Amino acid sequence: MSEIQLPNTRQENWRWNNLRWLESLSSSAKNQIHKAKSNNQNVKFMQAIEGARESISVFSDSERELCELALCGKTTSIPDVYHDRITPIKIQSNAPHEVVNRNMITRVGSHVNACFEVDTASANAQWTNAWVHCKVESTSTLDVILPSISESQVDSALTLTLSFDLEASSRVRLHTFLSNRSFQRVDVLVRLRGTNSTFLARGLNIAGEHEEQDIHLHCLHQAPKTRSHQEHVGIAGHHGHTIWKSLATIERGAHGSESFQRNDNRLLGNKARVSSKPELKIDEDDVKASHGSATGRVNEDAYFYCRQRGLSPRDAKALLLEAFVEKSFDDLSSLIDKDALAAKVERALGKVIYEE
Amino acid sequence: MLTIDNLSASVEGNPILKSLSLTVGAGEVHAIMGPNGAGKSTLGKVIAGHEEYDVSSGSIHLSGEDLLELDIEERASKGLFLGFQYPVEIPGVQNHYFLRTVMNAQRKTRGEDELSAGDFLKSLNEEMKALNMDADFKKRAVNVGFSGGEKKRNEILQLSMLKPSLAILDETDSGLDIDALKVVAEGVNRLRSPERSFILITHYQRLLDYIKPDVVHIFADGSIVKSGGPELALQLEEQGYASFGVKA
Amino acid sequence: MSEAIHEQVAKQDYAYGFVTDIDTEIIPPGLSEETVQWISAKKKEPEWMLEFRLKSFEAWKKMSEPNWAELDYPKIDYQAISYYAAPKSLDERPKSLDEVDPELLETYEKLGIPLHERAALAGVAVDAVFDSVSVATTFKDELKKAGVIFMPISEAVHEHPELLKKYLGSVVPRTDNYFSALNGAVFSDGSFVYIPKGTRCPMELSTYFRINALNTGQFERTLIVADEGSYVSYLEGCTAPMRDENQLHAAVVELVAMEDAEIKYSTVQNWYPGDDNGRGGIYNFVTKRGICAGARAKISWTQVETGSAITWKYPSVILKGDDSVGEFYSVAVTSKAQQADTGTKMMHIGKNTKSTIISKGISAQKGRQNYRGLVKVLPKADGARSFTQCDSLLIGQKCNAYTFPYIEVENPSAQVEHEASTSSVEEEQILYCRQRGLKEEDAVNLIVNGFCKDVFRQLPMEFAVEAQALLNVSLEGAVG
Repeated sequence: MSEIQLPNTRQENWRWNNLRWLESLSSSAKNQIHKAKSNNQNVKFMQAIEGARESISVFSDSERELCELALCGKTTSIPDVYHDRITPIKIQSNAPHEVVNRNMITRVGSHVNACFEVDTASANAQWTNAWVHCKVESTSTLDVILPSISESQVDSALTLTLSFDLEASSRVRLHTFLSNRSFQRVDVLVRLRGTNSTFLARGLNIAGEHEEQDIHLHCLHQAPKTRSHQEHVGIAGHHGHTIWKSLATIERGAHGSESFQRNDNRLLGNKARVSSKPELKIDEDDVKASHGSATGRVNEDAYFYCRQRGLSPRDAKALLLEAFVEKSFDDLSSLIDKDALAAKVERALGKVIYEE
Repeated sequence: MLTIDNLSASVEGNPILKSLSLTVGAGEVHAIMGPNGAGKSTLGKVIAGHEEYDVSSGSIHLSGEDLLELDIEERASKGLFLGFQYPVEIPGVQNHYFLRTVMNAQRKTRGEDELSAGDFLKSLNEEMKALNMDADFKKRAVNVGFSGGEKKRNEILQLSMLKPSLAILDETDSGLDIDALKVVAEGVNRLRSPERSFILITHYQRLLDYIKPDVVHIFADGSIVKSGGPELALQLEEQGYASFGVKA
Repeated sequence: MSEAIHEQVAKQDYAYGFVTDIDTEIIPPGLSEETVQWISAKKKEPEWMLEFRLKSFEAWKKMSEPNWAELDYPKIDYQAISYYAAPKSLDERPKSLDEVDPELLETYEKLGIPLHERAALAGVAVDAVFDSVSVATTFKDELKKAGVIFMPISEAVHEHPELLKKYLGSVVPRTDNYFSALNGAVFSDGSFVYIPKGTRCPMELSTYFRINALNTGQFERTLIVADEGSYVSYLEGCTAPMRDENQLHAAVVELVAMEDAEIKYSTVQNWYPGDDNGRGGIYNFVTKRGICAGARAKISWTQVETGSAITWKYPSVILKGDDSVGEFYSVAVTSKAQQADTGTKMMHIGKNTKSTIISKGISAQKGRQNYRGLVKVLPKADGARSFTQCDSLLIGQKCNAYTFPYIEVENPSAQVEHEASTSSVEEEQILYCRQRGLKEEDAVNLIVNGFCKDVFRQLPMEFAVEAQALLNVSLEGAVG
């Protein structure tokens, strides 16, 4: 364990908000959340969470202490990885009225192809917070999939931090699917520390009725010829809010690096909200970086075309939305049961359309 | 016209050209053929004055001028044109504006008067017509969004406007379909004259079906291993580089 | 690029760095209620104007300087700045140009802005502001004939109080931000423009700002009201002497476009940028905002920012009227040790509102540049459309470019698109141009100008040429 380096957090404060927020949550904020939750007031519950987040402005813990805190007690280690099967990372919490914290540190050895599935299905506490850190050694490939879509809407909050350290010529592919939980926030920190390392992220947020699906990514290019490629799609239903915030930092010396960010969104129904916040910080001139975003409703020409060919409004929309989210499945590890996942996504989409 | 004597050059310490000598007379067309990675393109870049390459020994003279003493743009003004294998895109700069700017820059360096806008446009329109180019070509940004064939044609257009005394065309035929190749070849043939020499750097014989060279050189491992007439290219086409003792 | 040019960071001349030697009245440094009262009294302002100032000052005292921008500068001591400076000869406002101090006229002559109408730029009316006061306004009579009001805001306070009371602070409220509150308390002069209903302003209007006195700040305020169906094109230019000390410039610009009105506002900002090591230069903290108050109104901001040590500026448009249009075209250069945090905000409130943002940032030498933008579509803005293109160009190893383009959409019928890229001037591009005969510097200028073309196209003809020249000067010696 000792050889695993924890991220140096000096420039990465924002990522720690989850943990800090959790650790320094005042008891009154906790009570508020409990109260809102027990009265089954969904909106208030979320407001309480937001309020708690904002109420914390000063953090007294030093970063080092924080790291130790993160490591203590509840750490689980997964030393063995297999190249021919999925290793599940279970984020369990069945206690109904408790805030749960789980931290895991994982090392992926050299020349290993590994696939982790972050299993959140059993995280049924009203609020679960977890941190998974992966160190990926040189020339390894790591697939991580986070299919956080419950079968039915779960009235709870999940905050999850995924961090990756990539060594030379290693590769991480991350697929996230967020839906059917009142509040989910996933923070992804990627440090491309070795030359030629690559990070690929594809994601899908489906914010159903009164849901907030929030993903924040920070990709640090710290070595030459590193590449990051992110494509994310979001769908906001009735009173739903999808958030995508992505920061790509290309540090001085990371020459020949490339960064690509793309975020497209569809709004359905009333009071749907989209926040799209791409950020680029570039300190090196020999790079290629671009980002793009398009937000709107379902393509009207395509919609008309589908209707003319005989589809009902609902089916036409479903078809177009399925096409819209299709690229979230690209590059998915062959170990994943893609059909089962696609069926889950389809059901979540069906609900959003219905809500309109 | 061009005299290269015993030229050696390297990039980042790796020798690429090794004691290469070559003489091109006025009005002659020379073809330099060789396998990929032999350093053919390097020769063009070294003659043009690319700063990445260090010339360790030898000399290059164009019409009596010592080129090694001159910067890239000064060599251009002396009548040297290098057609790029991958012509560069310059967003936001219109083709006609670019051409006029570079023509006037060359004239200025040579101490000549600037071209009037009218004269420039007149000859541009003539050349474009001869090359069968649409008028909207002028207004498009330099090479931006051009197909491979359009880029090469644009190089030929610049060549015909700049009227150099020596044109080096680096793999001008790569990526061209047969129609585009013909247009390019016709452009070159039209520009052949007793005052103008050409060096065609190419991998295949194909281009030489349309542009008849006076001399063919076989280039391998940093220098010329054999020179001869057009028949050399045909022999190469039939028997391959190996027949010349060259690793393809 | 060649080492030789890399190292030959030419001792680049800031052409407008001279100081005018003129007898100036400067109040001692420091800011208090008394200072505000003194300025108001000096300008013989009515009670309501003094009240506006005092309320702004009260608000300012309770606020703190914003620190969210990616800018790095030493703390500003607001008590060390003098808040009013004016040539003594302008104590009594000259009735005609003949009464203006020749020294001042010569200053503007040197800046390329002759104030004598026979020599003045054809078709451009100029209001010249020197430190805290307006020197002269040209073509006043001709504008009057068209019903256009173009005068120093200090005069407008007396002559058009009803308009000022109605619109001053209506777009940028007193409490909007730290610098606008400061401006509200101590603003000295600036321009007021009113274009009556259905009038197309017969000429370009222009204000030329000059900071001269040492240790002073400039706090000008501009208000442009375009009544129904009117059109105006307005341009501002700015320069300052080369000094080792930093000087503060905190301006507020408010634009009001009524139904079917159009305001085109262009800026060529060339404040002294400081030296290569970041010594001296203007701190430019500016609040610019326009409101499309009526249906089909249009506001267009075009800016070419090459000067200032620090730039903090986000010209914005509130698209309130249905079918109204907001545009932002920007070229910003940070060279030497300049820093800029600039961008725009487009607030879509009305139906079928449209916004376009084209931003080109160029960073060279030790320049730092941030694009910060927000496109917000509110729930009632059915059919809103927005397009953003935001590109950065890096020249050299020590500069950087950050981009923060935020998008918030709360209406499902909106279409919001955004494209951004960061690139450098590629060696291959330079090589290509040089092979065709261009000098390295000319090659860089050609490439950079091509990069900025979409924005230069938006500038009035006369200034597009000036802007292009300015850009070339700003990047002189930056190649490497």
